[in-house]
Amino acid sequence: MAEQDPNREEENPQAPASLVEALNHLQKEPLSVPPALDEIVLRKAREHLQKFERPEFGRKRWVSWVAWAAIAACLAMAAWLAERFHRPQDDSPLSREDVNRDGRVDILDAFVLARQIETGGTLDPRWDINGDGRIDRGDVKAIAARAVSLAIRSSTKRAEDNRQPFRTGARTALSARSRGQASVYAKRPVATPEARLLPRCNFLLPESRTTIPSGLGGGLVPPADERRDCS
Amino acid sequence: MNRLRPALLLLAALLGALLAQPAAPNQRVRFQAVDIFIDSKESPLAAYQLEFSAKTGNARVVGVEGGEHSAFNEAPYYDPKAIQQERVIIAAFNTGAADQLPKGKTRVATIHVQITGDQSPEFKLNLETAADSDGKRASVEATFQERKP
Repeated sequence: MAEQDPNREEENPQAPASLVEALNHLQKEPLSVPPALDEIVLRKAREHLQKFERPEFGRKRWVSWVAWAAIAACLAMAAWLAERFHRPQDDSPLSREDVNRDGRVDILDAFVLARQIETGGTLDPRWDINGDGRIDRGDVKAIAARAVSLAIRSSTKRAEDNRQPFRTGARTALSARSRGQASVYAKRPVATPEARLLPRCNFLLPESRTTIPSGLGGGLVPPADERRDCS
Repeated sequence: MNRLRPALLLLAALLGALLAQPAAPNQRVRFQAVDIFIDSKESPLAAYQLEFSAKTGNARVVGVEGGEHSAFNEAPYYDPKAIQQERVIIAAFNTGAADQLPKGKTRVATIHVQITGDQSPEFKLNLETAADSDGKRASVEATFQERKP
């Protein structure tokens, strides 16, 4: 008795006649899929296929972001350097005190401004240092106070020391921008050794040290007994 | 006796604290006047700015006085924060005519310092700028001399 081969049906498949007839009957009817269902199927298919994305695609996108970030950082640094080294000196707050335009603020700026006021020379509106709307002896004092300020000098020296290795030629302009406000200016008439405990505040403001006519801003000259707290 | 024990303990603690404090150094304090001179040679001195400092650390600026010439008789400009510090920047100018300004060597200021201890301080003077009556930078020489008591 011969054994039945289990693969015999696969080698010679034969569908039932009723099934063939039913299938032939189905193909004649129009097949319609609702658009909503179509969309759902497509969405599911996309979600499913995203799992099989090539890994190189994600890495490329990450590298692209890094490249763009590096470019942005370079642009930001370039802008910062340009602003730092090429900022016009006229924009710096201290350039107004640099009356003689020699790149530094010292007593010569106050001297030049005092002479300009005294001789009736041309006065630049920027020389209104104290911002009172006039250019007079008060502005001269403000420049002198800034010239002898220890705080400004210290910060300037630090700034110059820090910037010198990078660009020596721009020391003056750069240091000028780093300076802050001047400390309170005052003068003492005379301090003698007998005054062992000198007060550290309430310094006398000086009277006019120049020969500026009183008509030139004389009304703004503070009285001699005006005191200012220096603490 | 038991009532006095806390008070006695407190008293002993106070005495101990007082005795444990180091004795205040009995350092001598003296004052010294330092004259600042500028030698402008033949050109009239109209403005100057210089920095005076003590390098040894035992001297502090206590006052600034004007110079001998009438053009710089008043105290120069300086930062009041320099008082009780070791350095000061002084500056002055005069817009007078050339014949009203000093020529040659003249005392432009005197700086009073307070010296603590017996060590003699070492001073340093740095001329920052000077100008003649025309406002031009002048080549001058700045020196200082400690005034003898």
